[in-house]
Amino acid sequence: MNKFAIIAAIALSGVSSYAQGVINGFNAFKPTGSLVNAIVNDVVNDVGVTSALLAAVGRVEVLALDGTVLSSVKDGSGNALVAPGIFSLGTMTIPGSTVGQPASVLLRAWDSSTGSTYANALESASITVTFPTVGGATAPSNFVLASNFTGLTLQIIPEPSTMALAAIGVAGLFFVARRKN
Amino acid sequence: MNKNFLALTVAASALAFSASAAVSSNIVGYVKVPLKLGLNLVANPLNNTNPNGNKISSLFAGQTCSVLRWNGSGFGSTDLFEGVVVGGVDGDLAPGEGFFADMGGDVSLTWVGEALVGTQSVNVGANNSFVASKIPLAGTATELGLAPADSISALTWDNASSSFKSYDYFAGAGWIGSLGEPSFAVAQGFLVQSGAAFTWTKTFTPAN
Repeated sequence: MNKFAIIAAIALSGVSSYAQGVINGFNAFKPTGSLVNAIVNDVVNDVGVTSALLAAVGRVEVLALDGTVLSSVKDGSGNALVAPGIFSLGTMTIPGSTVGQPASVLLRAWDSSTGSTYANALESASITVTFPTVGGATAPSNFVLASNFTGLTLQIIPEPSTMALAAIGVAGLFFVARRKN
Repeated sequence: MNKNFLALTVAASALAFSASAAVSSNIVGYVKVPLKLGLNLVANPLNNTNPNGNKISSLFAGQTCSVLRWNGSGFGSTDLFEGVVVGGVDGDLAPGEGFFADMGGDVSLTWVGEALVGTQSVNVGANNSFVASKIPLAGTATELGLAPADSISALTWDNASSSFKSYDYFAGAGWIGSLGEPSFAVAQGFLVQSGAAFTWTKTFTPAN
């Protein structure tokens, strides 16, 4: 066989293995210029103080922008935190991405004591994490060091009944105002 | 056995020293490095002080392959055809550097050189660094002295799946995550992701 064909075949085998973007889902790192790790925080308490989301109740999942779950637990129950505010999800390939090009994923986090899934949890948050130039299989992009991710803080999601009461209240105010006019 | 020359054999992932032999300042030995078709993340664990001893063309003599070395932002490739460098730079692969060997088939290479002992340091940069133990020892990260002050990920390459396994170290908590603490074989390279540069130091003194 032509020696250049052999070399080309070897080179192509290497290239094909890192054609799609790959990220490493560990967040115990400090973003550039920050003194604190990019962790997942619990909701801000009454006096405005936040703290790391407890490992016992914290759940996270990483999705492609088309909704495909990339992290290992696929059934919606999420991946447990390994330490307060810290997740360790391993490497994930972003479908449709290209090495060296920008790529984004969706990070979801929630407190599982308020709901077993992201959709029904009453304390949750999500953020689009963008990697300006995503690495490949042979050099995955770090979730913090190679992206815009600086952390995430859960928000309280109003229950449907609370939202309904609020809507009724607003409608009532509107009705009273109209009658006065 | 020659008192000034202790041949040490490294088979698989273990390094065995002869307890009865006299040890000179130079411990010379060899390592058998099994490589598989496709990408292998390896390292040269012995320092060959012969002229051009650590060159890519010396370590991969007779091989048709590509050697991929991380330059901080991407890989530089050196291509060999039957041991002759036909593309890229025939650089030195010193102990402590991890690199990919992209092989055209399964092969077992034998690398010869001096075992570095005493206190050895590997400079690990911020972000991605491909590294290996400078001392030809197998063991866990802790046994090899890899316990940085800040969090890191240590990623080991799996040839079969062509993907990394990520072992995560959280400063203050140790090796967390489902995979626990990694173990490294002699001549195994791995990828370290770190937010800040640090020095990985290991001291090893062989028994006389």
